[in-house]
Amino acid sequence: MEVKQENNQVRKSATISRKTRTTYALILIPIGIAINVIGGIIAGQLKLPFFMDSIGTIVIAAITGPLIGGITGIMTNVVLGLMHGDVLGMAFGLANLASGVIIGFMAKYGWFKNWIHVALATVFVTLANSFIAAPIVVFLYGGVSGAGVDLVVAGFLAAGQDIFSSAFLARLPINLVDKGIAVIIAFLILKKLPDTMKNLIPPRKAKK
Amino acid sequence: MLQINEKDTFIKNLYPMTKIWFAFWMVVGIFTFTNYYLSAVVFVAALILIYTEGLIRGFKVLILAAILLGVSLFMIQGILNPSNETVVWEVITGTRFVFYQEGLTVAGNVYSRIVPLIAVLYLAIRTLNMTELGVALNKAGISYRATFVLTSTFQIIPVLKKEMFQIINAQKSRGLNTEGSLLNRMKAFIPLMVPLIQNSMMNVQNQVVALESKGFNSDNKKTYYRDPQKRAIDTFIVLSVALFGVVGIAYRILLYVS
Repeated sequence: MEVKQENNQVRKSATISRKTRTTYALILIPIGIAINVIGGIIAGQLKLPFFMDSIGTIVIAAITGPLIGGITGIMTNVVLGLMHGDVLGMAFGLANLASGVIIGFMAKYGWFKNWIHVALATVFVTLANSFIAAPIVVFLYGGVSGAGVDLVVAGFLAAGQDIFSSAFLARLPINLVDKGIAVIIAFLILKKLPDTMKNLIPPRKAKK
Repeated sequence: MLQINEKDTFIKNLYPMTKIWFAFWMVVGIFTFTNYYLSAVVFVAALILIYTEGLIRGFKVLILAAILLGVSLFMIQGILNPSNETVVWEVITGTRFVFYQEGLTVAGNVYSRIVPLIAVLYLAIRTLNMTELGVALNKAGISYRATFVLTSTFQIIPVLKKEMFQIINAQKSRGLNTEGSLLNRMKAFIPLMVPLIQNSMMNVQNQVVALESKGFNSDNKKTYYRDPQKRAIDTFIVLSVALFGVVGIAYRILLYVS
C-alpha cells in the first residue's frame, strides 16, 4: 500500500514537471521570435548590412532542443510576414527552421560547449541557410532579393556561373558573418544563464 | 500591434480565416496563371481597396521596395541571364551593357507574380486582428497552446521594443559609439543585444509561474473576450477565391499536358 502510494507520488510530480516544461517552451518560443525581430530592428538602427534575425532561434534551440528551436525559426518569418504584410518572405522561414534544428540537435548531443563547437555550428548553419535560401530566391524572385546581396549575385553571374550557383555562392560570405555573430552571441548568453534554465531539453527515454 | 486597423470597414469585419484562405488561394492562382493582364487587374483592384481602407501610407514603403526589386531584377536577369541570346536593346554600342529577350521574359514573369501578390497579401494581412485570428484558429481546431504562441508574440514584441530603446539610451550614455565605420557599428551590436536577451530570459521564470497560477494547463474550455462571427459573405468569398485557385491549377496542368 505504502509503496503504491509512493509510486503515485512520483508519477504525479513527473507529469507536473513535464507540463511545466511545456509552459517554459510555450513562453520561450514567443521570446525567441521577439528577440529575432528586435535583432533585425537593432541591425537596421545601426545600419548593418546583415539580417541578424536568427539570434533568438539559436539561443532558444540551444536551451530547448531541435523541436522548439525549429518552431521558433519558422514562426519568426511567419510573424515578420504578418507584421509587414510581406507574406512571400515567409518562405525564408525554412532557412531559419534549419538553423533551429541544427543547433538544437548539436545542443541535445552535447555539441555546443566550447569554441570549436561554435565554429562547427557556424559552418553548418551557414551552409544550410545558403542552400535553402538560394532555390527560394531563384523560384520566387528570379534570383534577386532587392538587397545588397544582389551586387554579389551579379558579380558571380558575370563571371559565368548559372543563376542557382550565383545565388548560393553570393549568400555564403554574408551568411557566414551573419550566422557567426548570431551563434557567438547565443553561446555567450548561454554560458551566463543560471543552471536551472540551461537545460530544458526533454531527456531521452531511459532504456531498460 | 495587436489592433492594427480598428476602423469599421467591410474588409475589417470579415472573419479572420476568410482572409487567410483568400491569401492562400490568391498565391496559388497568381502563380499558376502567371498572366500579365490578370496580374495588372488584381494589382489595381487591390490598390483601390488598400486606398479605401486607409492603409496606403504603410503600403508606400512596400511599393518602394517593389520598385527597387524590379530595377535590380530586370537589370540582372536582362543583362546577365546565362541563356541570353536575342538582343533587344543595346544601351551603349560596343559594350556588354545589352538587354536580351530571354532574361527580360524571365524577369517579367517573376515580377508579374510578385507585384500583385505584395498588394493582395498586404491587404489581407494588415486588416487582420491578431487576437481574433487566434480565436478563429482555435475554433478551426488548432490547439489553444499553439494560438497562444502567436498572440503572445505580438504582445511581447512592443514590450521588447520599448526595452530596446532604453538599453540603447543607457549604453549611449555610458559612451557606446553607435555611429561611424562598419566595424564600430558591428562592435556596438553585441552590448545592445546581450542585455536585452538576458533581461527577457530572466523574466521567463516569473511568466511561467504567472501562467501556471492562472490555470494555463487546465483542460477546461477557455473563454474569449472577442468572438468574431462567420457570415454568409465569408463562405461566398472563400468559395469564389478557391475556385480561382483550382481553375489556375487546372489551367497549369492542361498547359503542361498539351
